[in-house]
Amino acid sequence: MNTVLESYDQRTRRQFLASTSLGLGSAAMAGMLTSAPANEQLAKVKRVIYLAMSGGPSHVDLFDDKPLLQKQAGEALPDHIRDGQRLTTMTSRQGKLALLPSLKPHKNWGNSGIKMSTMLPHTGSIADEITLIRSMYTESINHSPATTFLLTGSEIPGRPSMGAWATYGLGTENENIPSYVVLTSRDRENTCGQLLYDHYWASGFLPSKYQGVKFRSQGDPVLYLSNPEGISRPQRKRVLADLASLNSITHEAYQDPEIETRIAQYEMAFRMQVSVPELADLDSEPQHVKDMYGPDVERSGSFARNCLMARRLAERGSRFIQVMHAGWDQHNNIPTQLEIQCRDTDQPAAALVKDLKQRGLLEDTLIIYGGEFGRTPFCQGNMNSAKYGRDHHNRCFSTWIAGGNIKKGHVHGHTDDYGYNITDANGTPLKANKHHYKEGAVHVHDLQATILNQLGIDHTALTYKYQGRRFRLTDVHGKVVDSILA
Amino acid sequence: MDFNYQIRPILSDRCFLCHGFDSKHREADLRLDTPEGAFEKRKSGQPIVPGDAEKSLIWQRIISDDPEKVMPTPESHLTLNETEKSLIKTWIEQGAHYEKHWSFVLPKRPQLPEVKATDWIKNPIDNFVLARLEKEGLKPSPQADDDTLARRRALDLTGLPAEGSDVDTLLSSPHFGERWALPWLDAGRYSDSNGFQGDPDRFAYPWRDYIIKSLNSNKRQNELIIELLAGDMLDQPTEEQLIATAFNRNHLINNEGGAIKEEVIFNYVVDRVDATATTFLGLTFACAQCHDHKYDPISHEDYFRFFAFFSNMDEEGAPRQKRRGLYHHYRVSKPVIELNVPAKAPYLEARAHFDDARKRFNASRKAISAAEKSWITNLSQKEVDQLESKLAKIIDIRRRGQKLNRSQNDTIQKYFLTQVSDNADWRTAFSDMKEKEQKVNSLKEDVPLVMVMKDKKTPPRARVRDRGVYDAPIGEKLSASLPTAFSTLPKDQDLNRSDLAAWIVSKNNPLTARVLMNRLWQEIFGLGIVSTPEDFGFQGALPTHPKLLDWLAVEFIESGWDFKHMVKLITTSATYEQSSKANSFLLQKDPENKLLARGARFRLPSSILRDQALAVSGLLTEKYLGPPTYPRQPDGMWKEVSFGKFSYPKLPDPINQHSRSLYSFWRRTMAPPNMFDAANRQVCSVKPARTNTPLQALTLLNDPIYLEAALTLAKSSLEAEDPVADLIKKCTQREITSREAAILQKTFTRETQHYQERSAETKALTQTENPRLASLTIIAQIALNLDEVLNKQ
Repeated sequence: MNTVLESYDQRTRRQFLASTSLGLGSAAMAGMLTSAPANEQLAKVKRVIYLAMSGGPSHVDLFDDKPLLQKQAGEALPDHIRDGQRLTTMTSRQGKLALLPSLKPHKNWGNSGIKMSTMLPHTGSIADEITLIRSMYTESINHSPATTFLLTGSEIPGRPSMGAWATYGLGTENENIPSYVVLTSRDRENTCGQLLYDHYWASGFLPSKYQGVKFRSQGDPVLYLSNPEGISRPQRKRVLADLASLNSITHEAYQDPEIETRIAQYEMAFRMQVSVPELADLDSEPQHVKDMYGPDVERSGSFARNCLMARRLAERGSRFIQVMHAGWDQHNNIPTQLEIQCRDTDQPAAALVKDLKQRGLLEDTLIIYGGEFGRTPFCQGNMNSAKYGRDHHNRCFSTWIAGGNIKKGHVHGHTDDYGYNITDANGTPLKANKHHYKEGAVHVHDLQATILNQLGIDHTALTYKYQGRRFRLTDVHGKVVDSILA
Repeated sequence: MDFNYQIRPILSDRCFLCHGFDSKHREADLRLDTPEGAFEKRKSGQPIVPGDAEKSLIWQRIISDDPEKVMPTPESHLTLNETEKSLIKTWIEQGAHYEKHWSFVLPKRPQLPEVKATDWIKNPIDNFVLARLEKEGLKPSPQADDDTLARRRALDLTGLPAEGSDVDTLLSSPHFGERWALPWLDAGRYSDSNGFQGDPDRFAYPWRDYIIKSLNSNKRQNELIIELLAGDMLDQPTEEQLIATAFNRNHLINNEGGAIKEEVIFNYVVDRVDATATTFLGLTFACAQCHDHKYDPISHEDYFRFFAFFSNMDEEGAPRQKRRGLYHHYRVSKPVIELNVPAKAPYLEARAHFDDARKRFNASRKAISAAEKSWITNLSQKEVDQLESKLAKIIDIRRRGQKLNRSQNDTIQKYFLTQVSDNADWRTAFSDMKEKEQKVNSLKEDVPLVMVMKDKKTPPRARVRDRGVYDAPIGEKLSASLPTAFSTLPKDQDLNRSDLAAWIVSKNNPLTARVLMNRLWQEIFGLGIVSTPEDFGFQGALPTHPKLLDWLAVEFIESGWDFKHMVKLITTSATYEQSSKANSFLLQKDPENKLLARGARFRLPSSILRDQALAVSGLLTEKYLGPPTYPRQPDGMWKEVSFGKFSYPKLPDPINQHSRSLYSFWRRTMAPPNMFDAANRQVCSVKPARTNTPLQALTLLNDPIYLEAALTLAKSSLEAEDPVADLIKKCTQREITSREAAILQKTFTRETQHYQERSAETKALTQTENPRLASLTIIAQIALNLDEVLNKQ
């Protein structure tokens, strides 16, 4: 009995058809949502860019320096720190959990002096733009459930993704390009075993128009975008006009409003055939802008290319841009692989922040950079061999966030001297969980609540009734992290 | 005043979340879902005083303007509008009568309602529909014309447009089973792969084929349900009956390296509970995994007692059973059966030979072990150092008194027997065994493994999990049972899945027949009599025609759960045969066509759109059942989703390219890209999505399969007397109208001229130099994209 949505869809359609211009403003659409009150007055940003680092970037190597690991290198992680923590079956049979120091030195960056790895010089250069959250935590210690949880609020696939919720709540800014776009890339070495499943951008039980459109790096950026060979654009236009005339005859007889919608959707498809290739065509970008993103920008399907695409999408009105980069799962190759990953992602991610800023878009964009969990401060495998790494860790990890109304040059949250548990400023473990919010610890649901909040959406009010229940992205949990807001 | 229709929906939706069935989260210890709770005398007064709204506490709270007092609370974001408030007030004043929820009462065959226009009636369905229309002051629409009706019936019964119009012929077409398998594949979350990391293949098609065959043979659906849920527990089950139980093994399977066995198995069982409860009971059991259901009478304990039915197996969890596939590898998890294919006999024979050889070898095993041990003990360090490092390492482990794993054991044994020992008997026995083992291993690759249900000997037990978390069991081990509210089965007995299946199809169950008939109705009319097919509980929609639903349910049961009988009844009713032409009055009065004053009109599912294009162009193959097919999709899609691990096979043969969509390989991590609005096949889904987007238009205009269909159509109509009319007839199953002809003849002339001037484009489009063919291909594209062709109308 999704009556609200059904009537919303109908009203939208009617409105849509009544409007002379087919590009319907977001305000009009948002105004019709009684169950999804995106409030434009409260909105701090118009769009979100989520740089989802798939596989679990190592927080102790990159964002959360722990000198004690250097001092106690090779010694066992004290039992009271692990405190009965579940391990994955990959290390649960390993005898000793030997502490592994950060791979490279860390340093203080910018005026704010945020401490991060020297492997991230470009991120260092935007230190004064970001809030670094060191106290993220999540539920699962395996990739697929943890990523599903981060992006859909549930560990089991099938719920709507965050981008679907956001576009459901916000409506569309520009009908000629998709509101919710997904861009994917992988590490250069192709080490990762993680697939990027389409349920990470699915609409779940929300109408399927809210599902993310995955832009492809090969062929048409959007599936079936190009006309078949032998059919030209002007020809397609006049043929669609003929189709519309024929469909109008059917409409005269049947009066079904869906027929009018279909005519409009075919027209919009025709317009997308221009707007999407224009969007994906980077020839118009000046060299100095491309240079900001680094040489990889020339490689189709690279993270750098996708970051630049994200900016172009942001400019043109996409609401939720999910840039996923796989390959952070360094169980046995951290000494070699982590540095390569940093090289591939550090410059483009920082460039995106700078580029948005120089265009005045940063203030109404929210950018998040982080994984589904972190990695253990102890070693997986043999520290003395060439191949070792770190296992998954869900009790704490780091994520940075920048853009509209987020504190600049700020660090939020603390972890203990091992980088294992979230603590308060004095080092006392917080022991927060999703049922018991504690200031300073940021559960994934808290991050989700904060993201929606910045879009002007109350996460407790953005609901959809399905199977008799009003579902939310944040289930019955989540609290907006006010202390990172400026 | 009707409690079920007017009052409970309001109370449930706005009050029960905090004052309902969930005992652990009940605010102020007040429950309003039962009269006992609502009329209870409390210190502050009585929540509801029957007959007196002013004295009723809840009424005072509803009308309060104090934000601290008003109900529902402002934080809940729920409100009551004036109409709802006045309904509640009237209900209280009329005595606040509670009634049992409509779907929890057994259906009885209702009397046929009296109607005025008796000559419109073709069968009892029409009595119910017409009575409602007459009550609303509406008249049915005239019967649709013959061509429209023929196409509508063919599409409904076979999912193909041009199979003729005689209902009995359509019902006996093999395409009937293919068409009606579609909703089962969605409910059964059918997929040819496991999902999650690696997403390896599985042998899912035998279950799909079981469904198609059962529908075609019109297996009584009570038998079908028993087989789906508990075929393995029947006396001497056939292979088909075992395959049926894959319904509860079709869930995602996790292959991730770090996955914890207990957790993944728990998740599988959760999925079985959801799929079974949704598909057969229309109940939202999933809501009671973490706590008591907020609305319906399903307690947290009820959930885990139900859970117990599906968790009584020795399950492997991770998929460890492997088969080499032609294109990808299969990995499935026990319990499994080896499918009875022709390759099975030689495989079983080889296995018997192997067993014999192993027995012969094992006879000397003790002696061999002793000899091997003594050899290892007596080796000098120098001799050890000269051995291959792998062997040296194994010997070192043995010498330290540690255990070897299986492959280490095999390695050293093989070396000892073939390189060290000079006992010819041992050697022969060993090599004979190895040879036979190899044979078994190579033959077994051709024997598919189907995952099935198989219970342990002991009766099912499960423990409640705190907050629904797998590793937080609390309380005693519980036996399996139905929720108290539905139970007509004894609670203290050791029930199992076959008892559950028997109850589901028993006369004591109020839900299943209604749920199935509602889904049948939904497939045909686009909207169920209950518009929430997944939820027949308090929060679900109420039936638009409750008596009709009951009549259908009882007729279904009394016909012996005869599905084809019900399909025939519906598709030969006057209700069904109405024209779907609307007018502004009807659109205003009943935009969703809930009252059925006109025929159904809605867009066909994407799988049927593709089938239709193949059928009208003559491309469709005769494939019936069997392994999945691989129709072309844009290059690199699997590669992209799998980071290069999967490549989509390029198989240009007609069977792979032009068979019905339900045979297309379904990768769980990425559905076939042209199947828009498809169910996600990750969890049970019983309500089809139907949206209307520009991306769909792009698919239908530019996907090569639709272009191929257009070109093939054009070729087949090119020599017709009037190619345009011929083509329109093929796509719409009716004659072209003069207005259409006027438009399309102009298009034909214009585009022919266009291609006459552009030979390269003609060539690109048609691989010929015929501008007329190119132009007619454009006409065919138009025809395949006509709203009328995309819709069932």
